[in-house]
Amino acid sequence: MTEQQTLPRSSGEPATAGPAITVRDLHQRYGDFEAVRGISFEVQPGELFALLGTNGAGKTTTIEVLEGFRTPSGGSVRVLGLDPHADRARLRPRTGIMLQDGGFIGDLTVAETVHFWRDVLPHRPQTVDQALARVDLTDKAKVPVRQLSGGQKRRLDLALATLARPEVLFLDEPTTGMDPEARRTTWSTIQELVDDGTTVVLTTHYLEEAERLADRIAIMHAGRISATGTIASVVAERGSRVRFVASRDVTLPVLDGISATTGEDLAEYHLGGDPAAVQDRLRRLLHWADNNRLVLDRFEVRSASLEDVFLEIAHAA
Amino acid sequence: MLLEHTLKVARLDFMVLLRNRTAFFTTIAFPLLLGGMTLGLEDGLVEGTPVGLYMLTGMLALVGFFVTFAYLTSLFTVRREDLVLKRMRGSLLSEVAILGGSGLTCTVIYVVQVAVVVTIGVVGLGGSIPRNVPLLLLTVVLTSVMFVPLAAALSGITRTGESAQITVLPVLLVLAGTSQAAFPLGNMPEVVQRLSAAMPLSPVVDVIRIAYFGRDFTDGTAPYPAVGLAESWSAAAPGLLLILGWTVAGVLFARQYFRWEPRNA
Repeated sequence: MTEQQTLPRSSGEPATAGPAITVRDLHQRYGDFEAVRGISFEVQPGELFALLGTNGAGKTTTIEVLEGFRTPSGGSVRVLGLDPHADRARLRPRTGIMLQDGGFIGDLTVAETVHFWRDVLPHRPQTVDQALARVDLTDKAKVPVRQLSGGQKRRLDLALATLARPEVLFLDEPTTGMDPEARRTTWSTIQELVDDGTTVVLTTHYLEEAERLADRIAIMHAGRISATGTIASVVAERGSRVRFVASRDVTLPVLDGISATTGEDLAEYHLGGDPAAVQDRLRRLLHWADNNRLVLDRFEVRSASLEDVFLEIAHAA
Repeated sequence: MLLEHTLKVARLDFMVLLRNRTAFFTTIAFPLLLGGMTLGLEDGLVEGTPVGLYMLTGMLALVGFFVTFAYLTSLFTVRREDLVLKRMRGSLLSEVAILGGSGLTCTVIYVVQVAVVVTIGVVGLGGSIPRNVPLLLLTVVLTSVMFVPLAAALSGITRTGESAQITVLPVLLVLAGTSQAAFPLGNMPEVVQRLSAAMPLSPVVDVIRIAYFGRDFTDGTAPYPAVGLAESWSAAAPGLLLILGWTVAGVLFARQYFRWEPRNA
């Protein structure tokens, strides 16, 4: 990825050494409500970093601080080595922003909208037609923006955010409201940008989107990062789980302090991330079954999925 | 870059304005109606000037109120709620270019409207050519500039595009009533007259009349003394300063009340 940083970019400013984005102990308050409660992460150049979380987890607040729309209540944030709010005039030519929604003048056509936003750029690496073709909106060029569907507006938004070939791209829920086909097209467009060396920060509540695109993720809940890393490492940390049918009158054993969760007629243990410990705990569980002359029906051992981790975090009190 | 961006926003705004019926009515049709209305007035004298021309010069000030202030209050509110302002602020456009570009469109329209309304006065009412055209032009431009930050400030306390009509209306009543645009306040108590004279539209009306009639409307009571070209500038100076004062006040209000993002965000 790093050699691609030398590609000529819209700005002509030199590529920054070190992380493209640094967030240190970020806090963000709205009156009495603290939307973000001390988060830290880094995004390396050329990386796609996804912020996951339920609605209200603090994803949009975080990305809007990175975009320079608000100053942090506490902590520090750097994008390409600059303060995104104080240095926004210097940073704007190097970043692209896709807001969560809106921001269009409904009376303008799609082509006029792209034309205006292209026209205010100092460098124009794409023509209006190229920009529209890239997001598959060529046939909508003459349609007033107010007549577009939600998904079409998201695609137009992506075209605008990437008009200048930015070094850093912020995408706030880029595929919300899209049909599955448009979502796949959009994913390829984003993937092309990443392949081209663009650093991307994306928020989403679609797990599949993160699995498809993200180099690393952070799962946010109630203003904090509950898990972060590559998807493989986040999933591995949560470890393996074993599940089987257990009737209610059986007293299930506690394995190294881990007790079973029971629902309906199924019992489940979360056995942790250390393979040796998992093996040992499984052995003891099977011993216990033998000793009690039980047959564990529908016995199943599997790794956690991203969905498991996500739901666990979302439902944590 | 700033000038280029301001011009681009202004051009965009003009294109949008022509497509939007409400915007077209507020900035193009209604001001023309205000000017044209003076043609139907009966003969007679107010403050030593013919009724038609007295009203017409007052309307020149009110046209600015509608073209710039009323229109921009609604435009800024709608654009804020639609997140257009947020998108613009997230782009390369500077804050001055975003608000100034829209202000520039209004200013150009206002200047053209004044030219049209003055032509109505000259042709339809048999008035003279304005005595001091540069002063008239300067006043019109400064008035429009004054209304931009004031509109930005009022948009900050306006919830939606529709409620802009509700927030603009009281301002219209106060400014129209205190400005002597349509009727003189000579019989009002001293304190009312002094307060009225300090309101933003009052110096606009005064200076426009000085520029149009070549008489000092701020000097005593009718008949007002005739002033030459040089004297008309000095007669207008206090009014122009007051307009600048309101511009500064408007910027301060805008810093306090203007919002880039929706009120419920």
